Amino acid sequence: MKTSICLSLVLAGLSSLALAQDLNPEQQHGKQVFDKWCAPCHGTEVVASELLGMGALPLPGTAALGVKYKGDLPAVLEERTDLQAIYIRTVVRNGLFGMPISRKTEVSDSDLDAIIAYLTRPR
Amino acid sequence: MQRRTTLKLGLGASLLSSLPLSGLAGQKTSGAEQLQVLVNRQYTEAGHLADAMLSRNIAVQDISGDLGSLWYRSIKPQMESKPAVLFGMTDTIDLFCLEELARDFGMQTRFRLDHIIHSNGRVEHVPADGLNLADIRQLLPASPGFGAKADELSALALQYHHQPVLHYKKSGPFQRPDNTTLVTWLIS
Amino acid sequence: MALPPNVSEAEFANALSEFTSAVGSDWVFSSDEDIALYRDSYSVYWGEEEERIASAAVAPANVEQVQQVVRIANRYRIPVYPISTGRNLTYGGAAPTLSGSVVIDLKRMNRVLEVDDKRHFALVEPGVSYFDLYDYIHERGLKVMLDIPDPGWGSPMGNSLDHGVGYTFGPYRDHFGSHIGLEIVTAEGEIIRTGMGAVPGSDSWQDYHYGAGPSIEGLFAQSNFGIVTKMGVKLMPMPEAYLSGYVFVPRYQDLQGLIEEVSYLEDSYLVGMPMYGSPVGGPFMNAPANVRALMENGWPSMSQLESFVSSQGLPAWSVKLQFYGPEETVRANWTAAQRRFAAAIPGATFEAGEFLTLPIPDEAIPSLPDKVRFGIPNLEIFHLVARNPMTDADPPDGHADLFTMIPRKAEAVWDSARMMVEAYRDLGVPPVHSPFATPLTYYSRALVMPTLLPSWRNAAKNERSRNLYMHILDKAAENGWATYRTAPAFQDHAISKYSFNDSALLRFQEKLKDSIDPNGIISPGRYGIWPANMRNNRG
Repeated sequence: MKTSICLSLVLAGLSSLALAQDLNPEQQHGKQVFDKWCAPCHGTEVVASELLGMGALPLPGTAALGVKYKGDLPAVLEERTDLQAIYIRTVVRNGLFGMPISRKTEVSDSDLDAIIAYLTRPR
Repeated sequence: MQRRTTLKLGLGASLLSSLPLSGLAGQKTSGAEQLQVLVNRQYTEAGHLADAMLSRNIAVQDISGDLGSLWYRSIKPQMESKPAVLFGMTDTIDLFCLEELARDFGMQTRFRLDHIIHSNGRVEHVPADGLNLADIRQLLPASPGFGAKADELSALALQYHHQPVLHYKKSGPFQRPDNTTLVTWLIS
Repeated sequence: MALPPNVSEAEFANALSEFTSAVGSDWVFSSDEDIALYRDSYSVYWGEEEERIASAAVAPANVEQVQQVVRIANRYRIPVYPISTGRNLTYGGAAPTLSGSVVIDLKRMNRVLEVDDKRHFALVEPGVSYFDLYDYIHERGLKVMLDIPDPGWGSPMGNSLDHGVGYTFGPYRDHFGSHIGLEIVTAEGEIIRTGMGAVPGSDSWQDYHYGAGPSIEGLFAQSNFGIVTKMGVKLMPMPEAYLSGYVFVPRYQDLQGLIEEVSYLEDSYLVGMPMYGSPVGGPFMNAPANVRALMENGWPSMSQLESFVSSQGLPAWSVKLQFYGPEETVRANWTAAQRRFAAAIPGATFEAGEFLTLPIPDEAIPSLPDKVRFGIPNLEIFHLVARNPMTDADPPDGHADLFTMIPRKAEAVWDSARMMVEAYRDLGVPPVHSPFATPLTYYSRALVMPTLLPSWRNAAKNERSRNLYMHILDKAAENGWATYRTAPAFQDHAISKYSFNDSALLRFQEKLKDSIDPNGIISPGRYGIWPANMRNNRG
């Protein structure tokens, strides 16, 4: 169990290193904003909860998208290659189901542009 | 053409007392579902489709202004009371948004036909992978004005209402500088 | 365009222009698109006339700008509504109590001013989130542990000022109870510091709470007497270790003995948050069919419940005890707890939980379950509202929480669970409680019988949720129970239940309000306190 945690962390560390090198400054800023504001729900960790009576599940946003797409599209936002700016902007500014609205004092317009640049970068 | 930056989810619209859902009698599909036709009237060909359907007394909703508001105030409530089949002609970014919104209700694209309008006026009609539309060239001219062939298009699309969903490549194509890509689709 | 009540378009335009001079044009939000960002995402009135909608929002950068904004608002008699991080979901979010208010968005005031890990306190501004404070502490290797609510993007100040709660050691779970020292901007734009902060040059503002004379801090929580701009927070020293253990009791009636022993441990400051459960009753708010069948012909009798329990071969109740401290003491406290439970409740059994040294190593944090136990901010609670296979056909758009406060008695647990079942059935909603419903223990000296009702972006569905919410408030009051916290949509109704002596408490608060905020500009109506010129708004 401990070995597999270490291995996956090493791999995650390697992939994020590679990622940082591939990103332009706006995309890097976008990644930072994403990590702060989005990753706590849309990240890749798998966590159990005794409090909520749940076995190991992806984080709430990833879990919700997994149920929505049922494997047809990646549940992890950072793995999508087809996202469109207008849709990202709409969801962030209007909320969607349990995801609340984000204000400009939290995620400014330029922060949002940067998140979009990061998530929609050509790959 | 001004691109919208967000799909406005209608603060202003929501503050008004709820508008009557006018003229959505629409066309019934072969099942019990309500057909809802959505077009982006910013595009000439989509406008032709809209006009052709309106002339047949089929209600059409224009999504070029406030797609999000229309979705939440009109389309979604209709679907909650009665299952709907969505059909229309928009650009591919509109389709992406509609697919995401419709997917929240378990609906997916079952028919997709891209219309690549080149700057010299030539039109290519490209069915999505998985659609065998050998007769498409007979149905639709490879030139401006094809949008008026609404009867043919909607009849064709409706055949796919109960077909398996399309697993076409969703990563595009999106707007390219040398052409305009419109798309006719059916989501159910 | 929404306007503040009794303010003309021209006056409002002038006020906006003055706000702009005070904070800069980037930080005055008055377009429809920008105002929409201040809607309550979990509103139970979404899209309806009663939805609380701001007329504008202003985001000051510092205390001086807050003072200017308040003075401008006073001149124009424009109601304002301060928010800290504005993430008070289920309790109103960023939206004001009164439509037409100008939201004062304090998110930009986000400095952690000080954290001391020898005297164990922090001093924060409103816009600091739990994530921010945790990062500050973590980056500097400071040896203190936070007590946090579920969503990490909330504000230590804002959460405390709404009587929010957490998960670790008793005194720290009461977030307002563990604040120490406030700085406040009054309705007239003056600055007050409470406690030792009122002594110029004091260096003990976060050491001694009371100062001298009557303390006024309570007036600024769940109310509208001023705008808090700095708050001290008492912090727990980072414990050396954590240990958990489970106590199981066999009989339905053993719940009373269980609660008594847990109360002994909590009130003696020997345990952290106790977590009650029911092995035979199943997961809370999702009881299995055989448990629900017990309620089919009315509430089961005690003997029926005891028969059911003994037929299942499972303990009726359990509690998870959590200990924080040096290894020697947590192990000793668990040993002592077992001895006491064994003596008090025949047939009690025990199971060891976890032993962890603290702080949790960085590499173990991402997959750590229930991070709130260790003050590690996260958003994992959103599983409650995120789409899942059971809700996939119709996921909610949010929820409204309703915590009914009850005393630490088994009788109250059972009676309040029964009340919930009856309330749901009265309105034709399948109940989510059962005779095995377990209480929550956020406040260490009380219990909570909770429920949460879905909120929607759909008026018909919201109406059903609202009606049930109000009905539960009514039934609870018939039993002498009330809620501790609620959204603006329910505040008047909830406060009306605190009606002792012809609502003497509220009448006293109203007198204070009229004196402290004569123009009634700060958050009119928050927790039922309306300024004199709006008192007929109450409803």
